[in-house]
Amino acid sequence: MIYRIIVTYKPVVSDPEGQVIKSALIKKGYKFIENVRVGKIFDITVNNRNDATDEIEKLSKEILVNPIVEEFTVEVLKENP
Amino acid sequence: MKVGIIVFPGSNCDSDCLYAFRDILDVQAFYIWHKDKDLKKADLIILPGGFSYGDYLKCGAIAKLSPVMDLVYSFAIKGGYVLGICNGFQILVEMGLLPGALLRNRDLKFICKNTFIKCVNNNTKFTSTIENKNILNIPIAHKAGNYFIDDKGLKDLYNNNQVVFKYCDSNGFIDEKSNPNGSKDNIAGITNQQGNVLGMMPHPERAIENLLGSEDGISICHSIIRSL
Repeated sequence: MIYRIIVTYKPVVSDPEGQVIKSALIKKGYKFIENVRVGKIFDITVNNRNDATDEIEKLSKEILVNPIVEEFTVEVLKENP
Repeated sequence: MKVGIIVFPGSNCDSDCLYAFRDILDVQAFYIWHKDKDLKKADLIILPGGFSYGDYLKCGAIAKLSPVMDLVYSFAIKGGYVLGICNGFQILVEMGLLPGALLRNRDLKFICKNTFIKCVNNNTKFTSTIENKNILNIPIAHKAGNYFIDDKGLKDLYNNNQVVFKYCDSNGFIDEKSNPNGSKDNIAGITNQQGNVLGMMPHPERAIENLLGSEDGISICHSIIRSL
């Protein structure tokens, strides 16, 4: 089973990297771009067992994510065969 | 007084800290490897600057999991003095010993230059001997020093007198122009509520003798020695 954790800055936190990418895109002619936010993806493969969503959420909060400035979602990328 | 300097893989200001305390200030100072299980009776623990674990995941996020950090955490909770400089500040924030977070610099660049900081609270164990209008010339060297805290957290910091250093110009004037990295309210250093843990992005250990361009950092060390 593979879990995908997507981490992004909270809306209240400014994202200078996203702003630079946004300006570059607009400069290139993509004038319809309103905003760009940059995030991180973790794909975590776990051994074959039952649902590990709770533990994945727990370890995300403990280690992967800084809850002061970031938020995250967890999705199942690949089910057990 | 004994000073223990924690060394992680990727620390690079550990020897500067040792030099400052042992060679300049004549204080007993030693390294503590991150896998050690003993703080060797240190009175002050320093988390030095550098790039612990290559800054992987988030700056300081892996270092906080090192075996010795459980001891550092208990030491701090019991009132032991802890000074986190640069990466050390990032580690303290990741550990939850200090509030807020350190984001990438506003301009996304690594900044290495001399800055002026103003001590806005002399009533701490780390700043009691600072003079000269409280303006210090101390270098910064970081890419993730943009201090962030939400509005409520900021209010709490001020209410508890936890804001200690702010970026300023050479006259001590604090404004956006003198803010090198986008830090909230120009904040360069804070303590915990109890006042025994200080985190700061500027490097006092790199401003320890005039040969290095400034000796303003030494007043922080003197303050600690006096408090202990």
